[in-house]
Amino acid sequence: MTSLTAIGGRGALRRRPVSALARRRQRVGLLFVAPAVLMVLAFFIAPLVLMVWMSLNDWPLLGTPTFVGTRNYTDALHDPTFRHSLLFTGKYTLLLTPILMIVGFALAVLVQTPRRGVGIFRTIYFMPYIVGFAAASYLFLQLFNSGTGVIDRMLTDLHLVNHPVQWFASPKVALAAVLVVVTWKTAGFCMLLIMSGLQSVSGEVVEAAHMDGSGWWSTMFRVQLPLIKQTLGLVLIFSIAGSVLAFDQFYILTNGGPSNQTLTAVYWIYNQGFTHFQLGYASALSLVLMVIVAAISGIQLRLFRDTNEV
Amino acid sequence: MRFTRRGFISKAVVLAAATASVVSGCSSGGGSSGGKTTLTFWARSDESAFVQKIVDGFNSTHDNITVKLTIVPTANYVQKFGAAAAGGSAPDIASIDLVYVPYFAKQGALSDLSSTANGLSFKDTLSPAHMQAGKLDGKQYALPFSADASVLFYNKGLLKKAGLDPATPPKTFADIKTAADKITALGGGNTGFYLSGACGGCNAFGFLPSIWAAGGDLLQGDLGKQTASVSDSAPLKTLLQFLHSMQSAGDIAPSAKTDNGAQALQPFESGKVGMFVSGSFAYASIKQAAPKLDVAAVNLYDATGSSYSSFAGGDDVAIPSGSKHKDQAKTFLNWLLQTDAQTKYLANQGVIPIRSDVAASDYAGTGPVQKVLADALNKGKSVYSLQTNALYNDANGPWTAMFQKAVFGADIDGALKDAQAGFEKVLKS
Repeated sequence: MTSLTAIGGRGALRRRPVSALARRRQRVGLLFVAPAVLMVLAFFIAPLVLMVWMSLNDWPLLGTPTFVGTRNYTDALHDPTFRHSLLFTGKYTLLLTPILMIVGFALAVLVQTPRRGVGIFRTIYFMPYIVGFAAASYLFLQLFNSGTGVIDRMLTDLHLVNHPVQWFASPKVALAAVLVVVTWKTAGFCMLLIMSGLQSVSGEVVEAAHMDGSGWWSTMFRVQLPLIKQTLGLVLIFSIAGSVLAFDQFYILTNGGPSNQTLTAVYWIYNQGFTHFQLGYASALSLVLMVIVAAISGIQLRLFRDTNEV
Repeated sequence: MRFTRRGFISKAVVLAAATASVVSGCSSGGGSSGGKTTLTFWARSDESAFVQKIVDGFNSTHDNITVKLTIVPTANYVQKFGAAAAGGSAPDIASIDLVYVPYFAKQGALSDLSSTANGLSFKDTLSPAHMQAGKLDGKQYALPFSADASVLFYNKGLLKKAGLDPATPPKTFADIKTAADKITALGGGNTGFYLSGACGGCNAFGFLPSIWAAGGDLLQGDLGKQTASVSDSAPLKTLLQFLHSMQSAGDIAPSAKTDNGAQALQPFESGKVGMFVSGSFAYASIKQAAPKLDVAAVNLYDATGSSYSSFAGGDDVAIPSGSKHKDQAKTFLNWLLQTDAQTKYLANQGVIPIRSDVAASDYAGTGPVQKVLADALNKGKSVYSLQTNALYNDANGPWTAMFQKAVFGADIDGALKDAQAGFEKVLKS
């Protein structure tokens, strides 16, 4: 391809007119993206702008709003429950992410080679992902019930515990129970992404590594995984963003308890908005959380960007 | 030429796709067709034992109005109703716990029922606590629907087995603890006492009376300008110490700690619990779920057993301001308040009716439990505040957190201190 600069220098680039064909193609292209742009505007940008406006007001659910400037934000800075909920959400994310990655990776390795019947296992491992978080939480609320649930019955019958475990009576055990539920539900999705990543690595690369004397472990960790860095980054972004925004499972399983010790950030925002009916304050909290999630995702995207692409 | 045709077709396809992707929403609520009106009616799950019969009774006697009942979980009622009222999808008729009515009336969510109220010939027999809760600036925004009062229920069979006399039930905190210890000592999964550790509303209903009976109160001042005295309330500290002592003696099942009210009645109904605090709504449910259970009731006393009180609660019924069928809704309200309906659907189910003429003649005489409940309602008080939900009912609020920490933990003073701070924060906002 001849470089445009070679034809007439940099000046030629600026002075060269855009052809009618190129303009028509641009217009058609814009029309094609118009529906998507409209949806983003209507369902993301417009509510975001409204939310920023609401955060600058004392906006009760029932009643008239009054402008208060940045008061909601200064209140948020001095809100100890919000701080605790952010710390707890961070702790939950730091615990869940490695568990999900390891379990997802293990499952992906199990089902990556096409064998007879592997399709059934892939389906089985992925199926929990289809169940919504609320439904899964109610399911496990019944399974973890100390009186009528299956899990405690199994543990006592197998003599692994002496009496039924009160799963949600202490914050550590409650967190462990929630981690079990979320791993059960989401590991299949991580498995799918990692598996498709592993399958995209050419068999020849693996063969070459084996021929050079590399065993299974070092092939996996020194050759294959580095090649699918992008995919792993994607799994991390999904998993971390999802954990920071966790709500359903805590609302249903622990009610944020005992004594608000398993309260996540979104749960507190919901409480302020819909139990205390303070929509303005809840909007301010939401914006703070959004900035945090955006910052984390931004850092991740930078770390995992393909340094070969320009 | 080829380009222009292709360009035109692609543009047409894009525009068609754009218009096809318009999303439309739909609205819910009652409707009317050909003279028959459907009214939507919300009631809280605590009333589920008797409210369906009321709706069925009305529907069978009214040809051109059908009432559709929706049961909303009690713990979420205020949130759901508030969100629906704000979003314009509130029901035509709403049965609201009377402690929340002042807030909703103040926000303009309820329509003015003064004319309906003044047109009632028996207006003076209506429960004063219920009428007071629905009155704002001289106008009546809600009418009484069902009355609930808190008492201590006890299992006569278990008391007898533990060697106690069921005819003289325990009144002082010390006596209740002794009885609870003896019943737990029976073994076989029996425990002396039960409470829903994570249910703020249940514990306000059940345990504020002992504080009131001792002459104390946690809130002072006028509506909208109240202050809290939680950490310096001696009756509250005595109450928490008493409950904690029962918990550490093993008289309360461990599952009680995280029960948010969903399991409030089942332990007692299963016959394995000696005593628990609840009200007439629960009594209606117990009669249905465990008809053979030998239940009795005694009033809620202060720690020394010298005087008693009760939480005079229950529901008011209101017509949300957005309802499009206010006249038909008023027909339902008028029908509800007639003696027939009050006797048949409330008194006979064990629920205290809200008309004193019915309560005296038909209710108190139907049984010993009903006598105690009717007396409790008379002696009872209520919480009168604009922030009752955020203070007492909120699962993540100061009262619920204090109860869990104090009864199931060890640091009662710390729990009281945190609750005081939490109450002040809510009252200031």
